[in-house]
Amino acid sequence: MGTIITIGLAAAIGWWVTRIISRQAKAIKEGKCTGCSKDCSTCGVPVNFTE
Amino acid sequence: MKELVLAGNPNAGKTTLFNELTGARQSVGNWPGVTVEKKQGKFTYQDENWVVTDLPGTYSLSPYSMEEKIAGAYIVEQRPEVVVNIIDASNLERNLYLTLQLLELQQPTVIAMNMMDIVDRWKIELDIKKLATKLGVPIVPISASRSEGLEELRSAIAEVSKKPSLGMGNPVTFSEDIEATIAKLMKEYQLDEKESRSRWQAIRVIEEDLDVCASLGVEKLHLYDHERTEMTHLRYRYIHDLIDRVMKRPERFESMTEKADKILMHPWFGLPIFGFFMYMVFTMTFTFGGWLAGPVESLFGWVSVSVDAILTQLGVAEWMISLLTDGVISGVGGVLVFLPNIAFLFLALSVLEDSGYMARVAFLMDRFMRKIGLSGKAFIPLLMGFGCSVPAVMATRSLESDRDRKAAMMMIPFMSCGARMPIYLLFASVFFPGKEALVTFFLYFLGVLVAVLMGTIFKDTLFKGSGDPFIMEMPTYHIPTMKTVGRSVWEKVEDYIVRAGTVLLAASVVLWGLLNFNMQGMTEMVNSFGAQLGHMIAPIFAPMGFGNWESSLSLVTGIMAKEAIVSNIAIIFGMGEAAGEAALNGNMSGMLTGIQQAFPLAAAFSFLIFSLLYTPCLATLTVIKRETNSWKWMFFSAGYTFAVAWVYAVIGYGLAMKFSVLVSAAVLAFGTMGMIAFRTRDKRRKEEVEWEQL
Amino acid sequence: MGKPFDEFRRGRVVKCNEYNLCERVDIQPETSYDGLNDNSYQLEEMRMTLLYSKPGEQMVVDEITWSPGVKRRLEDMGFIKGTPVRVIRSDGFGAIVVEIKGSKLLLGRGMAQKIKVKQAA
Repeated sequence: MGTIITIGLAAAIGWWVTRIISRQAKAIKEGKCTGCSKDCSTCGVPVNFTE
Repeated sequence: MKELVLAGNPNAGKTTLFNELTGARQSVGNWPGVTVEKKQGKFTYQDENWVVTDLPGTYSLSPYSMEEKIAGAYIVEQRPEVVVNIIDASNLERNLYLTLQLLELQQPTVIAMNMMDIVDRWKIELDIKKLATKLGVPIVPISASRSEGLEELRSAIAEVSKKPSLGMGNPVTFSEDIEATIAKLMKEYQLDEKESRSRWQAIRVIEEDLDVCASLGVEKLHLYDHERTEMTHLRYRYIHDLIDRVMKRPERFESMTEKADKILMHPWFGLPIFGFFMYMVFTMTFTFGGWLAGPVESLFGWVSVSVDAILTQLGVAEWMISLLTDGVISGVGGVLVFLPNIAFLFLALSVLEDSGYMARVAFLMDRFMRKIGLSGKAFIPLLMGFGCSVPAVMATRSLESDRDRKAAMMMIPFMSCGARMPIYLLFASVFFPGKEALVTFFLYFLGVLVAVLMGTIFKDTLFKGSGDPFIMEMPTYHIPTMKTVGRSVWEKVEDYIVRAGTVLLAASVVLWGLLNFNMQGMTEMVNSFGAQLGHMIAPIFAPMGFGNWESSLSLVTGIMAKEAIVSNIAIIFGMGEAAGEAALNGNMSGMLTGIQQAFPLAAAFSFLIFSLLYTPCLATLTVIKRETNSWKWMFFSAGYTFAVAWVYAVIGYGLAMKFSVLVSAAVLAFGTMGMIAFRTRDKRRKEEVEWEQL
Repeated sequence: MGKPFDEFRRGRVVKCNEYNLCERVDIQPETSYDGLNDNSYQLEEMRMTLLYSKPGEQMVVDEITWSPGVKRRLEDMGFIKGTPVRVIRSDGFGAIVVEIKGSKLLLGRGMAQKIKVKQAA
């Protein structure tokens, strides 16, 4: 039973990690923000601070 | 699918209205080819689907800046069903200028008269009906921040979309001479009188819109300078007369804003008050954040122990358990522990930003910014750097000159960002217990000093030349609503958590792998890949006193994301023996002991200094590359920050070893201040002028 | 017209006329200061810029001496010859807050220096 869970966990973690790495790589290539959860333009920066 | 665009002055509340109309259904990108943000959203009304395009905030459509050109061109080319012009009713004179130009575009328009709550508060009498008749377009009074009038606005939009003639408006008729010139131009370039955009194109030629001139084949420029100034003059005169007829302001009285500004912008008190606010921000982050940090820490301890227990019972492989507890939970947990602090930091900054105080800050700091060749406007992105470097770098867009933008961008990484704070908190609690706030304050302060010093150096080297024209509208003070602040803080918190759960989680897994394996398979940490890698890099850090593989590896991962440093340290030291036992008892202090043993005090100090100053995270580097459109600046900022950090850390270590941490700190701080003073010394005394009595 | 008197103070020159309308001319490396050693300095030519106008006093925009691009931007913001403008406060180092067209603007020293104003009639 334990082995099954182990494999399951390994698969889940492996999938999640690969997905993140590929997303990051893609983001860097496109010059997008790698830190925010969204496209960096939504870091909500108004161009004029009086907004 | 119908389209409407939002046009208006930067201060008029466009963003708020946009958010109100579209809710969460937004998408953001860039206008093609430029770094100006393009926001679009959707909403549905009366069974119609609408796309809302938020145009850049502009004071006019005259073609001086990218924003204005984009706004005008978009409306003329895309022909949206409705143009919604949002106006700040408390600032009518300036806002109507754009309105008049929008009417010249001859597209169906609806005016959303915002800030009506201020109008009421200031007891201004405004005859909206009359104004609407004169301008020839429907005007809907709203208060976006209070969500008032929105339903009426949607209804007006729908009406105009069905019957465009309702919104065509009465554009200004200029003087005879100018009208003659317009007619002449229309004839010369064969613009069809019946085409609604013809008049606008003729006007654009007068105003020297290079794009329109190019498309029409206009060759000679500077022919209409006089007409252009006349037109601006006439538009303003028209507005002035119009306002005289529709608006009545009560006798000059002092608004709350003016009263507040008397104190907040006071020549003597203004600056200390600002200092006080900064201190408050700091305190909030520490004390309030600190209250919640304890419980969060216990929570993670408990989670770790529970997971361990459950999985062991289920017979899951030991390595997997280790990966989950020592790797993932340690790594991610180590960072999430500081979430309360981060949340309070962003809360404080967001209140500052939303209230409109930032403009005052720019004013107060202008005289200092001049010394490093920037204007007060540049201070705002720097201040934002305390939160996160990424939006701070983007905020440099508000600086008009390229030179100013780059200089500010190069300085921002030294403004210690929120993600570095966990490092300070962690190390301070281990090595300087009881003095955490002081240590952290010192680090922030040093960061600022270094940023300023770099600014003075840049001023005379890389970024010579005069600065930005500093012109900025001063908004009315606005008590930040729970809604906006809440939303803003939540966004950042969400980002932080998501980042922890993705980037940091992946990093933790990878790191765990590196730390537990080498060529021969699973092994003790000291023989792992990670250790080997760390050893290779360690010599760089040897002069700073922590030439051990653990620090080296952590700092390398710190380039990916600053929180990763804490994450990795938590994992590395959490997997040591002493830590392992303590962790079984549900507390993380085993890790702390591990850290304590690995760093002599002086080295801990220099480690902090290095973390403060060195290469910013990948996200920041990426956005620098994007905003400067060059790899060169990105690599430069990566490299020079590393070099500066190295120098400071080595000196800091040396002094701390020879004397004490306190002495070292003082030398670093005062030394930097001295260098700044030296570089900004008044050169004027050298000049003498002889005078004669005239 | 009375005789103007001049003062030399720590690198700043102050020229005032009998009405105490003064203009300080700072000696800065960046600014060109023609007319400083010009003996034929004409008092009538002397105009005041926003930088040196007194806070609270109602002035009127006269001329903008800056590059065409910035000049047009200022025009759009309302700085046209004849428009009333008033300095509300100054930080003592050049940055000012002015009221024009019913709202308040922040101007940096450079801007303030190049917007010439006259006293309101």
